[in-house]
Amino acid sequence: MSDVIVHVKNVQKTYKQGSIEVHALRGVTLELARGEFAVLAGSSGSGKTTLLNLVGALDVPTTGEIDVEGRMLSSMTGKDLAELRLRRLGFVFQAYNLIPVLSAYENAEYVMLLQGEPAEKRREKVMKVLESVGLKGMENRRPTELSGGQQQRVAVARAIASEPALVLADEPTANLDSKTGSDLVATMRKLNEEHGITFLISSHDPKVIRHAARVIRLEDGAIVSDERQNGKPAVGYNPVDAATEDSEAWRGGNADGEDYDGD
Amino acid sequence: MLALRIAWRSFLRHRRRSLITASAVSFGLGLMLASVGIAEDSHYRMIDMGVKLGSGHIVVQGKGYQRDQTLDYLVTKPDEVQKRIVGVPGIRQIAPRVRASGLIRSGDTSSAVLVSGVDPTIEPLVSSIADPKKRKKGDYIRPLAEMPNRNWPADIYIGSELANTLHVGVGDKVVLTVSPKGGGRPESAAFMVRGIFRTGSDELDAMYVEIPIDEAQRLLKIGTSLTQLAIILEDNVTTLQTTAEIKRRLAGMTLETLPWQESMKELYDTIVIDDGGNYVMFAIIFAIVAIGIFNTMLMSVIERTREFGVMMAIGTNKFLMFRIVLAEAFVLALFAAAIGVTLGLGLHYWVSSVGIDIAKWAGEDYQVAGVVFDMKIYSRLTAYIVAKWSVVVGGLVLVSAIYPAYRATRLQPVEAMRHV
Ligand SMILES: Nc1ncnc2c1ncn2[C@@H]1O[C@H](COP(=O)(O)OP(=O)(O)O)[C@@H](O)[C@H]1O
Ligand SMILES: [Mg+2]
Repeated sequence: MSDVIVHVKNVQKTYKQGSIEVHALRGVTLELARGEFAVLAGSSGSGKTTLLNLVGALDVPTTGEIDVEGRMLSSMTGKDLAELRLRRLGFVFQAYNLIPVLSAYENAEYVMLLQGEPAEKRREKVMKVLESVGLKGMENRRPTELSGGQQQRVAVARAIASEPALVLADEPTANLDSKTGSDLVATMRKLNEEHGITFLISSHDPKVIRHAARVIRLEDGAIVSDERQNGKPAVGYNPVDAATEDSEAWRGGNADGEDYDGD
Repeated sequence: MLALRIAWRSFLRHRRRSLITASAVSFGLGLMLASVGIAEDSHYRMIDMGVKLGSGHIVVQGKGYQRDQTLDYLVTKPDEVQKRIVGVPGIRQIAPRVRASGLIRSGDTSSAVLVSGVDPTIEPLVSSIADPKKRKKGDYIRPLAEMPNRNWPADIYIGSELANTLHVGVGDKVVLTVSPKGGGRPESAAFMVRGIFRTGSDELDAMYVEIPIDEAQRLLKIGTSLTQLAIILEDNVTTLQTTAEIKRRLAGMTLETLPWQESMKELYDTIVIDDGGNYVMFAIIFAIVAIGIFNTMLMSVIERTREFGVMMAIGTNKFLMFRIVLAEAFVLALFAAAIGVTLGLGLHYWVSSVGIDIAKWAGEDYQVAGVVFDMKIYSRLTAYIVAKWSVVVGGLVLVSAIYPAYRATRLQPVEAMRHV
C-alpha cells in the first residue's frame, strides 16, 4: 500500500458563469498520507468545497491531475469513478446528509447495501459504528427524530461503515452549535486514531481546526499554509503503527459479499 | 427491495400528496370500471335480445342467403348438418327455421308479414318472442302433431300491432298467403290465432308471425329444407371460436355459417360505436391519470434534488435511482388500483342492484338496430375485465413515471447538492 492516498497536482478549477469566470482553485498541489487527519481551513468562498468535490471524484478539474490511491481520476470511466466513491471513499456533507425516510440504522447500512455486503456483516457493522459515534439505542429513529448533531453522527457512521480508505467531510459542523460540533470532531478524531481512517475535513471553525493534526489553509483558491500542529503524533506519517493492526481486528468479517442486486 | 422500501416510506412520508394523486387515479379507474360494467351489460342485453329475437349467436344457412334472402338458397340437408355439429362445445340449442315473406288477411284487411316457420318445442327455449313474458294473450303455437284435431287450421302467433290492424284476437281465423319455391301459384292456408306477443319492437309487433315449421315447409313446397338453423350458445364469449369449429365441421356443404356480428351487422356496428364512445372517455381519463402522475413524480424528484444528489454522491447508481422513482409510482399504482377497484366494484354492485332507468332519456321503447331493449340497464363485470383495466391503469402510472425517473438519473451530485 502506498503511503500517499491523495495526490493533488497543480489543480485549477474555473467556473464559468455566463461571461464571468470564477477561479475557485488556482493551482493547488497537495499530498495526503494514509491515516492522516487533515483539516482544510479557509473562509467561505476560498475553494474548500471545490477541492473536496474534485478529490471525491464528484467533479473534474479544469487543469491539473488528481490521484486517489495511485489511480489517476482523469483516466477512469464514469462507472469506475462511481465504484471508487462507493468502495473507497466516505462522504459527510454540511447538512441534510441522510435519506429522510430511512432510520438511523438503515442510513448507516445504506452504503453497505449498495456494496453488496451480506446481511450478517451489515448488521454487526452498523451496530458497531453507531455505537462508536455514540448513537447506541437510537438505531430506529428517523432523521427528523434526531438532533442536528446526531444526524451528522449518523452521516459519519455511514461514511465509515463502508470501510473507506478516505473520508471527505465538507464543513460537517457548520450547522451545529459549538459544543455539538466539537464532540463530532472529537468522535472523528477518535475513529482516526483508533482505526487509522484517513480524514480530510473542510472547516472554518476554530474548534475543528484545534483537533487537526494537519491544517491546510486555503485562501482565494490557493494554499497559503500547510502545517502540523498540537504536537500530537501525525498518525498518517507512520502508516504501520498500532492503529492499523487494531483497525484490522475492528473491521472483522470479510469484504467480499455477494453482489448487491438492489431488490 | 431497497428501492421498494424507500419508495414505500416516501409514499407514507408525503401522505397528503400521495393520497391526492392516488385518489385521482382511483377515481379514474373506478369511473372506468363502472362505465365498462354498464356498457358490458347494455351490450350483453343488446346481444342477448338480438340473439333471441334474431337468428341466434350463429346462423347456418344456404350459401348466398345472407345476400339474397330467397328460397333459392336453402339448407337442403338439415339432418346432415345437425349430425355434423352435434357435440360442438358451447352449443345450447339448435333451432330450425323457415323464413319467407307473405301476406296475412282477415276479412277485408291484409298486411305484409315475415313468416317464420319454427319448431314449437324448441322455440320457447331460445326465443324471447316465444317467452311467456312477452306474450300479451293466449298461448304459444303447438306442433302440428299435437293438434287435437287434424282438420283444424294450424296455430299462428302474431304481434300486437298486427292483431290491431287485422282486428283479430285469440281464437280468430286468419289466412296466410306465400309464394312457394319455384314461383308457382301462391299458396294460401287458414290459421287460428293462438297467441299475441308484444316485444316493443314496431317491426316485430307489426310484421312478424310464427307458424309450425312443417306447415311452412308444406306451403313453401321445400320438403324438409330450411332457410336457416339458428344456433344458441351457452355464452357469447365463445361465438367466434364456435363459428370456426362449425365451419370446419360443415366443410364441403354449400352453406354459410355466420356469427351474429355478421348476420346482425347493424347491431354489431352499434356496439362498436358505443365502445368507441367509451374509449374516448377512457382516453380522457388516461390523460388525466398520466398528467397527474407525471406531475406528482416530477415534483417529488425536484423536491428531493438535494437528497438524490447526496444519494448519488455516496454511490447510488443511476439504475437504482431510476428504480426508486419507479417504485414510488408502483406503490402509488398499487394503492390507487386497490381503491379504484373497490370504488368501481361499489358502483358496479350499486348499479347492478338498482339499475339505471334509460326510459327517461330513450323515450318509450328503446330500440337499437330494430331490437328492443330492456328499459333498465345494470352492470356486468368479470374478474378479467377488472384485472385488465387495473393493469392498464397501473401500467399507465408506471409509464408516466418514466420521464421523472429518468430526470432523477440525470442529476449531477455536485449541482444537486447546491440545491437546498
Ligand atoms: N458551480 C459553481 N458555479 C460558479 N461558481 C462557483 C460554483 N461553485 C463554487 N463557485 C465559486 O467558487 C468559489 C469557491 O467556492 P467553494 O469551493 O464553494 O468555496 P468554500 O467551500 O470554501 O466556501 C466561490 O467564489 C464560489 O462562488
Ligand atoms: Mg463550501
